[in-house]
Amino acid sequence: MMLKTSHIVIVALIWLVSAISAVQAETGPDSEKLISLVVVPAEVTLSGKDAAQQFVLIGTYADGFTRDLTTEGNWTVSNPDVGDIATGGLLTARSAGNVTLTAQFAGRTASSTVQVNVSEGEQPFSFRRDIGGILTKRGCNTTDCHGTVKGKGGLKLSSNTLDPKEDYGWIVEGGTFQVLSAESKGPRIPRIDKKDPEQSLLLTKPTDTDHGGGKRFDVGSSDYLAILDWIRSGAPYGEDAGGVAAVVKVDVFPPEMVLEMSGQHQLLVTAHLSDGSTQDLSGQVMYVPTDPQVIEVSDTGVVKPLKPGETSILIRAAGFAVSTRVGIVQEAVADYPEIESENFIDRFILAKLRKFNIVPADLSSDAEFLRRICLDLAGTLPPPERTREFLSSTDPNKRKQLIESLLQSPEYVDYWGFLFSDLMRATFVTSNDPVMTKAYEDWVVNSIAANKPYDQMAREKIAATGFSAPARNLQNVGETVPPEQLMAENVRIFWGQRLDCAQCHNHPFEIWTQNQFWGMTAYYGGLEELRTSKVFFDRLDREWGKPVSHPRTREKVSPTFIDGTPLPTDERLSPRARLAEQIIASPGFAESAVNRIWGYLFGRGIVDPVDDFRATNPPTHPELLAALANDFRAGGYNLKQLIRTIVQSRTYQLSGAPNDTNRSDQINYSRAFPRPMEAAVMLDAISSATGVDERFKYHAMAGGPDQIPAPGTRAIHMNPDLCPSQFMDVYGRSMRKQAPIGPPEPTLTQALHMWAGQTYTTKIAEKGGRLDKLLAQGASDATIVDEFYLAALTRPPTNDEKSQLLSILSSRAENREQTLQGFVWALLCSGEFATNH
Amino acid sequence: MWGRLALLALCGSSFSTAGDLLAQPVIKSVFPSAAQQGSTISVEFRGTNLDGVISLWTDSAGVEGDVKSAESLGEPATQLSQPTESDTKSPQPAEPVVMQLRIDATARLGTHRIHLVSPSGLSNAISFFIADQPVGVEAAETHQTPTEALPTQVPALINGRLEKSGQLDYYSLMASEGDVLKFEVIQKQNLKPRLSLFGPSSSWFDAERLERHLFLEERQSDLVPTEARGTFRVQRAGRYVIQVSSLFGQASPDASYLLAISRGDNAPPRVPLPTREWTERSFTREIGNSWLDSVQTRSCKIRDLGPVRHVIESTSATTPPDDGSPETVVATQNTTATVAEVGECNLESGIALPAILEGTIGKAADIDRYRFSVQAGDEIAIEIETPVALLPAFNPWVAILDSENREVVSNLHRKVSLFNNNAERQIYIADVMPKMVHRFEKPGEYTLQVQDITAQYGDATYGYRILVRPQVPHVGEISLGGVEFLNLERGRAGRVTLTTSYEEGLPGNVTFSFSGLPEGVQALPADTQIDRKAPTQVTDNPQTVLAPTSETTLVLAVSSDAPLTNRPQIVRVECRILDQQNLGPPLLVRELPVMVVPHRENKP
Repeated sequence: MMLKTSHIVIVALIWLVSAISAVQAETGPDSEKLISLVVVPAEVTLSGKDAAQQFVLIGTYADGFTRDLTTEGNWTVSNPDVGDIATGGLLTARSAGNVTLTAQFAGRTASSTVQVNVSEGEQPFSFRRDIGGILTKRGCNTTDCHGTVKGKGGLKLSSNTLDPKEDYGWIVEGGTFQVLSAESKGPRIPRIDKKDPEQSLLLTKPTDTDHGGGKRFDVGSSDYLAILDWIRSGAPYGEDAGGVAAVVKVDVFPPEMVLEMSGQHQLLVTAHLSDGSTQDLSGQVMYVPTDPQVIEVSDTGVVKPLKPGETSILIRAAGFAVSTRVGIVQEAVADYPEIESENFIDRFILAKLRKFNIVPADLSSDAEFLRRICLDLAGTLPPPERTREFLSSTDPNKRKQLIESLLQSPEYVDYWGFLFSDLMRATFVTSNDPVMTKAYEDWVVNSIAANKPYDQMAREKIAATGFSAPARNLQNVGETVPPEQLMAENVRIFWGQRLDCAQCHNHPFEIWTQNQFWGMTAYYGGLEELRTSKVFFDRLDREWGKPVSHPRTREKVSPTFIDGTPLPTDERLSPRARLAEQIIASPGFAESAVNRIWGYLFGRGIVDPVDDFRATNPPTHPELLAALANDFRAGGYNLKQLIRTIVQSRTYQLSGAPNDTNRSDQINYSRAFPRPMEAAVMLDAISSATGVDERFKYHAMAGGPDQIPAPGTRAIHMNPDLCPSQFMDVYGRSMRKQAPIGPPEPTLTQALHMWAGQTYTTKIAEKGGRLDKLLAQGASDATIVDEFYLAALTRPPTNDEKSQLLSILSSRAENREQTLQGFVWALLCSGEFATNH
Repeated sequence: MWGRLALLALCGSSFSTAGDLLAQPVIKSVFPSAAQQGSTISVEFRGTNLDGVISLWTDSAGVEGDVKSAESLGEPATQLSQPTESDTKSPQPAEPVVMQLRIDATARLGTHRIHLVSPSGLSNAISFFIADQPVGVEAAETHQTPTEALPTQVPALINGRLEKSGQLDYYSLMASEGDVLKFEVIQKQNLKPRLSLFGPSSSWFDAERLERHLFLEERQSDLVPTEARGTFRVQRAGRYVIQVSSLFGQASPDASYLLAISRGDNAPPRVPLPTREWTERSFTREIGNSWLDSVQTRSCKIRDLGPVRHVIESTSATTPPDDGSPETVVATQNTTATVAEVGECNLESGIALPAILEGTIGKAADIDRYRFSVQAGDEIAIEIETPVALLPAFNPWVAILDSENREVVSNLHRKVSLFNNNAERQIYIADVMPKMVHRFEKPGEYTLQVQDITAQYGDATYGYRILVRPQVPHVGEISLGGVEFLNLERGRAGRVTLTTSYEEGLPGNVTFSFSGLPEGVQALPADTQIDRKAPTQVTDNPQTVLAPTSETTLVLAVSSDAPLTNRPQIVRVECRILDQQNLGPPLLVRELPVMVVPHRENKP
C-alpha cells in the first residue's frame, strides 16, 4: 500500500499543531512527560530490492514541544526478511511483502506499515531523477556553478535540473549555451565518453581537486558509480522511454521545527510521483541553511543546533526546491510574564515569543508611541503643544483616539501618498511630461485619500489603459516600456515576487521557469498606444501586432498564467484586465499587500525583503501573515483598516528598549527597532523642529527655479524628479527609477552635511524660526531646552539632560544665542532625532 | 507696380504676414475676462505693441469698447515658458490698455473672441466670456489662506488672477447636507488651473490646515482630467473652501481664471464657440438628419440617396434627433452574459443605408454590432460623432467585419514609421478617426462593430452617432493654415495658403476667390513649394481614413498708395468646384478680417 500525500499532511499537521501550542517555558517535569509517539511516515510502499526509506520517530511532550527521538528509539520490524531497519530509522527493502515497523521509547510504541514490491523490478531509469538528482545534491547546478546563466567552464546546467532535457543534451552531445538562442555555439564537446566511460569529463572533473568547483565526490562513491553505470549503459534519457512516473511534488517534513540546543531533528524529504507513489529523497538532496551560524545539516538531513536563533533550510532536489524553517530556542525564562493581547496580531506574535523563550519588551512610553505613530501615519513630527497635550492626558483611550485622528488627517494622505508614489514610481521619466507625471501622482494620492480598495488600485495599475493616469506609467521617456518590464514590475508590486529573475534564465532559488516568465509577459504583449492622443489599449488579435516571443526559442508565446492556465481565446476584456483579476484572486495578492504595509510599520516584512515571496524564503510568522491577509481580504482590501489593525496591536506599540531575552532577536517583533527616516521625511522633520519651511524650487522641466510651490509645501509633496535637493540626494531619497529597495543607508556624506550643510546651519539660525521667536519672546534657557526637546524628540528632556544643558548654557551666557544654536544642532544630529524608534 | 508686387509675393516668407508678432499688437491677457449681459465694465488688456490702440473689434454682436487709457507697467510680464529667440532679441514692455466694455443685454452667452485695433493693425483674438449672472472680480485684499478665504454666495462666477508664483486663492461658501456643488474653471489665461475643495474638519497637527475632500470625479475615475472641474455631494453641513492654484506654482500678472460655482444642475451652460468654417473630420460635428444634405451641397451634383433611417440601440443615452426621420428602428440588446460577462448589442436584421446608428458603450468591453448588405463596388462613407464623452476618454473603434468576422476596414489611423533606431519598418496606430471610406469588392452581408478601443471604459456618456451612407464626392475642410486675420502692410504683400480636402473621390479642381478686399489690395495666385524631405513616417491606410488634399497659395498684394484702414474689413474667401467644364456654385470658406497698415519702416 502506497503512502498517500494526505497521510503525510495529517501527520505534519498533528506535529505542527502540537508544536505551536502554548508551551511551558521551564524545563522540568513536563519536558520529561511524553504524551504521544508517532512514526513518520505512517505507511509507505517501497519499489524494488534495496529501496530505502528514512523513518522519523516524533514524541510530543507535556511542555508542548515535539522532539525527534529517531536515534533514541528502539526500532524493530515484524519480518526482517522483507526489510532491514537500522538504528537511525533507515529501512532497506530486501524482498516482497508487508512488514510492520515498530519504534519503542519510554514505554510507548508507535508503528508504521511498509509494503515492499520487488516483482515490479527496479525503478526504470530517469535522467532527471537519477543523474539530475546527483548533480543537484552535489551542488553542480547551483547558480554559482554550472547553474549560472551561461554555465561555467563550457558546461551549462539548468538550476536544480529544472530543464533535464537541455541538461541531457549539454552532457551527452556537448555544446555551448546561448542566452538568446536555443542553438549551440562553437564546437560540441560531450561531457561523457561512451567508449571510455571512466574518462568522461562528468566523472573526471568532480573527482578532481583541481576542478574549479572543487572535488564534489570520490572515485568509487555511490554517486560516481551511478554515473559510471549510466554511461556504460549507453547514457539513456530514460523518461522518454515511457513507464516512468514523474515527480510532481517534493515536500519536507517537518515544514517547520523548534529545537532546543540539546536536540536534533531528522528531515524527511519526500518525492510524490505521478502514479501516486512516493520516494524518500532525504539522502539525495542538497541542504543549504540560510544562516549556517544557527544550525548545521548533515548530508542525510539531520539538523543540529549551533546557537539560538532562526533560520531556514533550502532543500534542493532535482527539479524542485523547498524549504523548512528552523528555530533554536534559548534557555527557558523563569516566571515568563502573562501578556495581554490587543488583537489577533499579538496572539500570533506572543505565542511564538513564548515558544522561543523570548520576553517581549514593555509597552512603549507615551512619548515613544507618539513620535512613532506620527512619523508612521503622517510622516511628520507632532508640534510641541500637541505633544504636551497628549503626554498630560490621562484618558485610557488616548492612543486609539490619536490613531483615529491621524488616520483622518490630511497628513496621512500626504505621507502614504508619498510612500505609494515611491512604490508605484510616480516619476517624470515614465511619461516624459511633467503634467502627466503630476496626473499619475495625483491618482496615487487621491487613491490614498479616498481609501480606494487596494484591489481596485491594483486593477487600475495592472490593466492601466486608455487615457488613465496609471497608464502614464506604461512609458519610459516617452516610449512604451517593454512588456517584460511592465509585467515584472507589477508582479513585484502586487504579488511581492521577483519573477524578473526568470527573464533570462530559470529562477535561481525558485521553480519559476523562463517559459512561465514569458507566458506572464505575453499578457502585456498586445499593449499599443494611440500615439497622437497617448491612449493605451490592448490588442492581440492583429497580424501586424507585436506578439511576445520566447527569447531562446523565438516561438510566439500566448498569455499563460503562472500556474499554467492559458488566457481563453474568446476573452473580451483586455488580457491585462484578466491578469489583474487572476493576480487579485490568488492568495499572494493579499499576503503581499499586508506584508508590505507590515514592512513599512516595522522596518522588515514577515517575508523579508517584502517583495521576495518564494517557497525558499518563508515567512517568519506564516499563520500571522495568513490571518492578516484573510482579514484584509474580508474587509474589502481596506488599507486604512489594515494600518489601523497593525498600529493598534501591542506588538506595534512595544518599546524599543531591549531586555536580556530579546536583545539578539531581530525577526520576532519582540521590541521596536529604530528605522532611519526617509530623506524627505527627515527634511520635513528638520523644518518642523526648527520652525523654518524649506524653500523648494522646481526643476526646469516643471517651470524652473522662478516658480515656487505654494506655502506649506513639504518635501514629501515634491516629486523627486521635479525638485532638485542636495539634502534629499545626500540622504538617499528614492528617485523612483525602480520599486523601493529599503530604507536609506547612512553615509559619510550625510555626516559632512550635518557639519556644514545649510539645511542644518541656516534653518537653526534663521530669523522667524523657532529659536529666533523664543529668543525674541525672552524665553528662558529651560523653556528653550524644553521646547526643542518636544519639537525634535517628542519628549521632554530627562532631569539629567536638562541640568547638564542648563549648566553649559549658564557657563556661556555671554554667547547665549550661539550656544543655543549649538544645542539645537546637536539635537538634530542625534541618532534619536534621525530615526523613527 | 502690380507685376513687381507679384514677383515679391512669389518670394514668400520674407514678407510681412499675420505671423509676424513683433510688429502687430499682441494681447496676452485681459482682466476681467468675463462680464454679465447688459453690463458695462472696465477691463485691462496686457500684451505687447499695444501702444496707440484705438478701438476694440469683434465679429460677434453685442460687445463694444472704448479706450480709457494706455499706460506703461514698466516691467515685462513674467514668462511662463522659456523665452524664444525672438523674445530675447526684441523684449517688448507690457503696455496695459484700459477699456470700457459695454455688453449688450442680448449678447450671445458664452465665449467671444475680441481683438484690439491699433495703427499697427488688428491684434490676435482673446477669449471673453459673457454670462447671464454677475461676474465677481476677486477683491484686492489677500485671500491666500483658508482663514482669509473670500466668502462667496452660490451660484458664483469669479474672475481671479494668480500673480505670484506659488499663490493660492481661496473662496469660502456655506453648504448644507445633500447639496450638490459644482466647481469649474470655465476660462483660463496663461496657466494650468487646479481646484481643490476643503471641508470643515482640520488637521490634528495644524488647526489652520483643512481636510481636503475629493470631487466625485477624483473618486470615481482614473482618467487624467482634461479640465479643472469637479462635483461634490455635501454630507456634512458647514463652511467649505475652494482653492484655486496652478500647476507647479505657475503665475504671472497675465495668469487668470474664471471660476464657476453652482448648485445642482445650475452650472453655466457650456456654449461652444461658433465654428467659422466647414468642419467634417471631427468627432464633435453634429450628425443629424440634415448633415447629409449639407454634405451634398458641397458636391458637384446632388443625388437622391433615399431617406436616412435611424437605428437606435435600446440602451442608447443619446437623444434621437427630432427631425422627422422617416424610419426608426430600435436595436435590442442581447443581455446574455458572455464568457467575459460583458454586454453585446446585435442587430440581427440588417439595416438599410443610408442610416444613422445611435448607441452607447454602456460598460467595459461592450460591443455593438449592426449588420448591413452591400453590392460589389459599393462605396460607403462612415462618419462618427461622439456627442458627450469625447477623446481621449472615449475612443470609438469602428470596424467592418465580413461574414467570417475578419476585419475588412476600420477607423484606426495606421502609420508606418520608416526609420527608427533599428532601421525597421514599423506600423503603429496613431489615432482613431472620425471618418472612413471604403469600397466593397465583394457583395454580401457585413457587420459594423462599435466599441471603445480600450475595452475597459464605458458608461451612459459613451454615446455615439454613426452615419453610414453612400459616398458623396465633395469638397471637404479647407484650412487657412492658422490664419485668423491679416494685417497687410502698404506696399507689400501677405500670403495665405489654403489646404483643401477632396472628400470621397471629388473630381476636378477647386478654385478660390476673394471678395470685399480693401481698396488697393489685389489677390494673386502663387505657386506652392513642395517639401522634398523624405518622410520618416507615412500613413499606412490613407485611402481609408484620410482625404487627399491640395494646396493653393494666394498672395494679397497691397499697392503703395492703398488707403490705410482704421477698422478691419471683412474679406469673403469662397471656393467653387470645377468639374470638367462645369463650375459649381460658390461656397463660403471663411470671412477674414483684413486691415491695411503702414509699412513698418514708414510708421510714425
